[in-house]
Amino acid sequence: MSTNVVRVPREVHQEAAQVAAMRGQQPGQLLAEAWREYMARHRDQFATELEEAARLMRNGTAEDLVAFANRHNRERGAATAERIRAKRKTA
Amino acid sequence: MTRPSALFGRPSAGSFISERWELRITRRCLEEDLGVSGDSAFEDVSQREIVKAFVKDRRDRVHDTRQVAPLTCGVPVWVLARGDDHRAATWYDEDEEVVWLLAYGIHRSGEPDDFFPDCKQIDAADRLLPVAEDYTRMFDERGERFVHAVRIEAPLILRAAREAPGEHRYMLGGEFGACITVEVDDELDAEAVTIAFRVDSLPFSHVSIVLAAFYADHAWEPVTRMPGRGLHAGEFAYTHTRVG
Repeated sequence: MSTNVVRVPREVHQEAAQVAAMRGQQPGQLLAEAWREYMARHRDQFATELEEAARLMRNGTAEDLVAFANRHNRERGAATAERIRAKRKTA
Repeated sequence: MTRPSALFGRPSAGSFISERWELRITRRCLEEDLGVSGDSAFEDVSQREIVKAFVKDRRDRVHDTRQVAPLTCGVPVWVLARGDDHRAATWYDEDEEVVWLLAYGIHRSGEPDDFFPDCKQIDAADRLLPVAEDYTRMFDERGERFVHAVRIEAPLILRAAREAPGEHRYMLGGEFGACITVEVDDELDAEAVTIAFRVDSLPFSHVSIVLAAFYADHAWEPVTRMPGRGLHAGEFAYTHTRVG
């Protein structure tokens, strides 16, 4: 199971906004296209995740489901902290 | 960011939940400045003078009249004051919709342990802003709130949507908007549930949970339109069909 892509990254948002402005489109339109492409490329992975979520919803405990929802949080926390550290002024 | 309205104005685990953001205290500040465990719940320190001020002054506004400056962290850090000498530093992370209490101390001008030089030293050591562990704990708590909320909400939303034809809009888990349509064919004894989400601010790891909360199987398929319309910019949708 993948441990990446938790959320449409900020850089993709910015890039989509720039490209959208050049094309006269809405950024959300490009993001949705990017999302659909991503989901098409990771169809099998998503199917596996959906199956696991459904299994936990039927037979698992609330704690199991929370653990599943939070499975990428360590990477996400590190990426967020890194984004903030990037704002630091260099001497 | 998973702020169910039932929690507005209340502490929840490491946060205080307001309508527009949440308030949190960094682990470093909890341990070193408030002298408690880094895993403390917000409620555990809610009677401290500075935490009372944090709730009172930051639940409705993220800025104040004066910044802690100069700092090297590259973000605006605001002074939070209580009485003559309680001082703290706060920062609003707009992307994650959270106001952090970063540092706390006593202000005594000219004395070696004055809050402001201490705060600048912490900043110079790159220890002022929240770290990965702070965010991971926040995301874990948000995930927990989300799961508990969506498990309760999904069956209620489904029932309401079955009773009233057409498209309905809901906030799931207090976090993200979803449009739902239920189509029923009595002749075939069939039902199709279609849900559209907006892409922005949607954690990938929550999509499968939301769909499974409505129908706990894997028969969901991506679709390119809602029953009564095309998808809006920034939307994507899934449908689930049950026959018999």
